[in-house]
Amino acid sequence: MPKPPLRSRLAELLDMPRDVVLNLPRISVVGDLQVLVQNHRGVKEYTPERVIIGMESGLIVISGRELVISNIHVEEITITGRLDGVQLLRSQG
Amino acid sequence: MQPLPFWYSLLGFVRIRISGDMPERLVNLCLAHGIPLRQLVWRESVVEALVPGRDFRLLRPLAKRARVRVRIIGRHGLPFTWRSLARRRLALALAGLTLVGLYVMSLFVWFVDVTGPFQHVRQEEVRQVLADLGLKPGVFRPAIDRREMARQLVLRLPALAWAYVNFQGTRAVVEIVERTLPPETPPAGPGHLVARRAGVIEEILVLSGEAQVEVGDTVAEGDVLISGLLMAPAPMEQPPAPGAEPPPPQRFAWLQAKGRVLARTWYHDYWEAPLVQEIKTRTGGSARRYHLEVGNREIYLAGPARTSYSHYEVERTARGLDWSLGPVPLRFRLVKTEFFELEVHRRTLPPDRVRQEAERVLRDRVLGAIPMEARIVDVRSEVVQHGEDFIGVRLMVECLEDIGRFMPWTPAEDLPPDAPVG
Repeated sequence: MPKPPLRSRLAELLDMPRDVVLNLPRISVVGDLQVLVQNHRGVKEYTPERVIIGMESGLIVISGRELVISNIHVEEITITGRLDGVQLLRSQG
Repeated sequence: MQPLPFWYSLLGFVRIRISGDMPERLVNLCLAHGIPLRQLVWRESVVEALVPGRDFRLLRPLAKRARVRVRIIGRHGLPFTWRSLARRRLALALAGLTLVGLYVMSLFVWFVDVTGPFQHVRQEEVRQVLADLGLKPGVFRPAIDRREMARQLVLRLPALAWAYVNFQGTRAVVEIVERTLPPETPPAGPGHLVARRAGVIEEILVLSGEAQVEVGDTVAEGDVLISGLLMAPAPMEQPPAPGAEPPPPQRFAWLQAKGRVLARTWYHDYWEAPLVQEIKTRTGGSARRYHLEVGNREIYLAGPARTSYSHYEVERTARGLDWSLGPVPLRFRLVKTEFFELEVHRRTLPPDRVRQEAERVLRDRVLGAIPMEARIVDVRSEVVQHGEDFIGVRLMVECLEDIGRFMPWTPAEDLPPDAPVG
């Protein structure tokens, strides 16, 4: 039996926040100005037009213009600029 | 861009430039080692970021591992500012000294302004009294009692009714209000009219009192011209025997003598004028000397110490500060002393011209002594001495003027009690 469903069911059973139990990223978007990603796995690529951030099971692709990583530490990354889109790419398997 | 938290400035941070193939690698290594990065900006193939100052040294080995180059392009915040200031210790000390100096200087009075109508009192007079009282440029302000100063000023200058001393920074502003003085009151009480000056009486007009002189009389200074003491003939029971001495007159009344006594008066003066004149002309030769005056000391800067010219003129010009702090002179100025060579010619002048010149000088001197009301009747001059190289000229001015001066008289105790006074 794969692990995630068990954890997922456990989280449901114990009424715990799923992002904590399942180690999922939490993404907050403020209009088209700012993205806050918590529980990330580092920056995979950075250009003014695109920032790719790793997560437990895939990638988060943030596209826009004049993107700046205004704050980055273990817990969270804040990206500001003119946002065009936030895309989630799930890893295969 | 998000603003930086305040402790970044407090603890200091550096702006770094990351160049290399994969700057992201270094970013992730920093994440793994707990080094916070801020304001990562992509700038034409390099990435710039802010790192707290104390974390920067941890960055070097990580950069090596990530195979990127890290360079500091700016240091900001208090520790760096402090360090750069500490390196400029002299500048810091000077800045501190300047601040202290400014504060100390601001404790002194540097300007004294006196405002007022100045109708009965001159501004210089007020300034002089203020200086005597201790309010002048260079005095220590907290040592001055403003109220006492204003009070003393009014006491010293009777023409003032009110004064107010105020400080505006380093400026003392003194406001004054002048007293409206009553017109001069005519003298009261009895008295004589006496001669103010020696002269020969030309005309006499008695308004009250008894004339003591006649036209043509010569009077000396202080002689009674019109008496305030009226005398009456002694009462007689029977007519005096022919040839007998009449009884002396008796005091009758004390009056205030009034009248006009015109007299011929003379004013004269004497002057010896040289016949040989020395004419000094500049030859065009000059020399300059510069020195600094610091306090009471003179510091020589440049130029000849003394001049080699046998005849010369000196011009001194000083620039800078000339204040005093109580008895301590606060002087700092550059003094330029210029010597001009002179050529001296001796010239014998014609006696007529010298006499004319002497008369002109004497006339100015004598006219200054003659009262405004006097009428000039005659001006005469004569050469009374003729020396080898001088002539002595005497100038005499004859005037017609009222020489009467009122002199109050205190009635003596031998005055009969019933004598009317007035």
